[in-house]
Amino acid sequence: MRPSRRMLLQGLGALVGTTLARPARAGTPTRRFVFVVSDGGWDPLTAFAPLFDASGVQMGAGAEPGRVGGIDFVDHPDRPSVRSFFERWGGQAAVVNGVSVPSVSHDVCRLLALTGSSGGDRADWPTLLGVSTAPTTLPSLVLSGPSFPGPYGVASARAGSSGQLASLLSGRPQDQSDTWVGTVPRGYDSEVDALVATRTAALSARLGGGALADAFTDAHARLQQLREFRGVDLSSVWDQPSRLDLAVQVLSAGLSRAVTLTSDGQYGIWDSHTDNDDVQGYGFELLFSGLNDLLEQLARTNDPEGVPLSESTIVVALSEMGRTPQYNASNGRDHWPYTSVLVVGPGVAGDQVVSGFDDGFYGLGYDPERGVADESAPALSPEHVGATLLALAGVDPTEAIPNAPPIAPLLG
Amino acid sequence: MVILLLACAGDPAESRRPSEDSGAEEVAPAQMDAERLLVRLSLDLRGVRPSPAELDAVKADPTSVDASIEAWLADPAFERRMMELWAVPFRTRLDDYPGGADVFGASSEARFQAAIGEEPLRLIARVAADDRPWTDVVTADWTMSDAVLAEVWPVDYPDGAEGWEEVHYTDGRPSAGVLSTNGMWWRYGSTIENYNRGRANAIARVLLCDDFLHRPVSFSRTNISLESDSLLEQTQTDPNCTTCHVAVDPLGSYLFGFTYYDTAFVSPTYNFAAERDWANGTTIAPSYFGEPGDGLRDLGRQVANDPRFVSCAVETTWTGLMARAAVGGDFDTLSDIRDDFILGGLKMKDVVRRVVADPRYRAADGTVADGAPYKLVPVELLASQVEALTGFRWTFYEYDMLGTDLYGLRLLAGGADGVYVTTPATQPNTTLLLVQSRLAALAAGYAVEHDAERADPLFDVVAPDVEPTDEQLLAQLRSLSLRVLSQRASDADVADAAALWEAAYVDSGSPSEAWALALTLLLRDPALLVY
Repeated sequence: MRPSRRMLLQGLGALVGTTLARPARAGTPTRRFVFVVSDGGWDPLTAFAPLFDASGVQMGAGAEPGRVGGIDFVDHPDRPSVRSFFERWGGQAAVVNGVSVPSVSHDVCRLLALTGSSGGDRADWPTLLGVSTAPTTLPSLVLSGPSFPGPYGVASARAGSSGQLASLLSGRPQDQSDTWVGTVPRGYDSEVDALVATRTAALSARLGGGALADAFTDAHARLQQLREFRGVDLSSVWDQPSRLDLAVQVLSAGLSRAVTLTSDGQYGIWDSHTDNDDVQGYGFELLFSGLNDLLEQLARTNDPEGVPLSESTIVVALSEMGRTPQYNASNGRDHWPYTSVLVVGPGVAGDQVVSGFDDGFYGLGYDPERGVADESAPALSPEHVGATLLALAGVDPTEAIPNAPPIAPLLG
Repeated sequence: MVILLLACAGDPAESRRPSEDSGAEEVAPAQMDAERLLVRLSLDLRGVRPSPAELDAVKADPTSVDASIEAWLADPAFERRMMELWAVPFRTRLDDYPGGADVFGASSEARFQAAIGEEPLRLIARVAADDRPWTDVVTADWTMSDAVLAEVWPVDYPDGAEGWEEVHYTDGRPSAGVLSTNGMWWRYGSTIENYNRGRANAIARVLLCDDFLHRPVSFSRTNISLESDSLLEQTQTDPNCTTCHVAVDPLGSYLFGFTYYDTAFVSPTYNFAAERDWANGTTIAPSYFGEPGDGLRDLGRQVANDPRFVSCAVETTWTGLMARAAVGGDFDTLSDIRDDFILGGLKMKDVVRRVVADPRYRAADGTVADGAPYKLVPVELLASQVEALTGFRWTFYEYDMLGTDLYGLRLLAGGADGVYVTTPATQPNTTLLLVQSRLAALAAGYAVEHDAERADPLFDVVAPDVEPTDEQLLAQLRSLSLRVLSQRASDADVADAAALWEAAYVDSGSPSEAWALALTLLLRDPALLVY
């Protein structure tokens, strides 16, 4: 005898929603993260590093030393948003200068800046932060830019460069097919999902458990949650303002803990081998204008518990590399293995610049635990930054990053 | 050349071999049963699942798996599988090359974008599939083009042809296999000031498995002058720089004929006038790790003579088929495979044969050290197996939805775009399952609609538009399960699918809609993603 539809539905209902694991860790503070990546290599000398007196450095035309509170920066009349950012948010913002990314390759530096390693087997900071804090449907959501989920692939998801995730969730894939596909059954999602859950459990048993089996179980359960997710249009990823807006909505809805997106730069470019000042100047004005808007929006948008997101969300702006201290023949700057990182948000000891550059634009030796320059120490590394972010999230960084302590002065 | 390669000392693999006296005991490895192995081989070698008849045959005679391997190595689909395997290190399959079809007069943006990056991969795949010497990869006087690429590339594409064909560049460029292709150097451009260094590293990384960028580099503040005029000199004299630059810069000097600096300079035609622009740039004449050369043809010959070229081909094939990087114990095996590869005339199929015969490839479970008992189906295999089963290939405005990213779903389905994501996923995630679910619904609908047109109908018990008897329903579900998942369905699974079928039929009155739903369930089975 075939089971009836009623029997089917009754039997399957019990299965749905039973497989989500990974409970919230007791005592973990609620922290959310937005990573804004200026992909291509920004020029710290355009915003973060006012080295006007450095013998080996050529500063840009029209740039002047700027200071707001404890933060020295590069001021320029064409980049008013940089000054306004530090005036408005400097109290909870810290600039980390002289961060060493010992390569001049975009590919390698992306890995280094986001994972602390060039090996490719480590998870990036957003993924680590996403899986280390309270559970969400998509712990790390990438709206654009690089991602290296490493061993936590199941915890990372991409929205697609033209909003493909939203299209998939809309439930009408036949609208995006060149081919007439006949009848696409509708109205049985829950029944099919439940049967797939059964088959997932069977597969897991056949695999004998382990990471792959767990990933299938986990991914299937997250998919059910994602299907039920409503209220945020995940298709808005076309430009920096829409991505920043979407990041806030995603965090507000509790979909993710960490969101990664790219800043636009001039024509989408930060890699300023030609006309550095134009490219970087435009890029930084757009970036800081966007950061101003982002922080305003975080302040007036609540998290799922009704608390303003600004009380839980840390914004990290970074770029995989810096630019050479002198101009090339095309008025550009080439790749440079020292860069800067901007961190702003709750828990960050702001109003300060940590570490720095020497006269040749090399990162200063720095002791992150004592918080002092130290010629005998190496420059800060992305691992120090990653450890700091984990510490800010209330996660002990020593397991994931055993060889680099957090930058103590940043921990408020 | 074969003898020369075999005689060469200093194979990097040697230095990575573990100690002979490791003390490890030999343990009889647990190997896959013949049916499971056949599924893995069929997907790896031809991109589709075995037919029920093929499963029955190997179940009856497990030794017949060797005959299947030979048959599938000769299958035309093997060429595509080689292309997909080499696409991972080459990273050329972008879908947003600057310029675009309208700039160059190509008739299809989607097909033009896809074809650019496929050109060098198709050449490699053709060499592998035709059992030509692997050195042809860097010495061939031909390349590959389809009709759309031929609208832009200066090649002698045959009149009336449509698909990928062997062609020759007609602009007189030197012949050096993939090193002469526009596809390679449109992907790896160079700024004027970087003197093709990135391109040089692409050669080293992809063809020699020796990524300069992974070498330890000291950026000491004490030993680099900041005077820009002396920087170039220092790259050739300072020990911290020479680690890479003494080899990279002269390698880059071979490549000045490819003027793809940015969209303003892009050209599909080789630029003879720029070939010697290195004299105005680095002033460093072309040479290959110390051996002077003159032009691309020399470069191709030098790469072909480099022992690393052959070792890298073996390692890349191993990595692609094992779905993991080579680790310590693998390198003894790789060295043996390499030696036989050379002695056999550098035929890539010999390498593939050795890899798929290895106990680690055939490991049944985790008891085999460094085995790969279960692999996640890469997005290319998800697409090809579903297409083979249902006839459906998901395209939208001609973009291959599972092969592109600008509008497509490759990254969401665990693929690599070669820029932001450079290695395919090894674990499923939420978006992969979401892609699978949508693909399943589309493909199932298509299969039901078009099944009568197929030479080997998926519905082999009862036509999908006919109401089945109970016996026909159950038999068809069992047959579909075997076709789709290569496994004999349990009674419980058949009962579940039958109930789903009936529910849809009761609601719609349409057997076609009910079959589309049942087939959707099978195509959403996570077992479709593991092999």
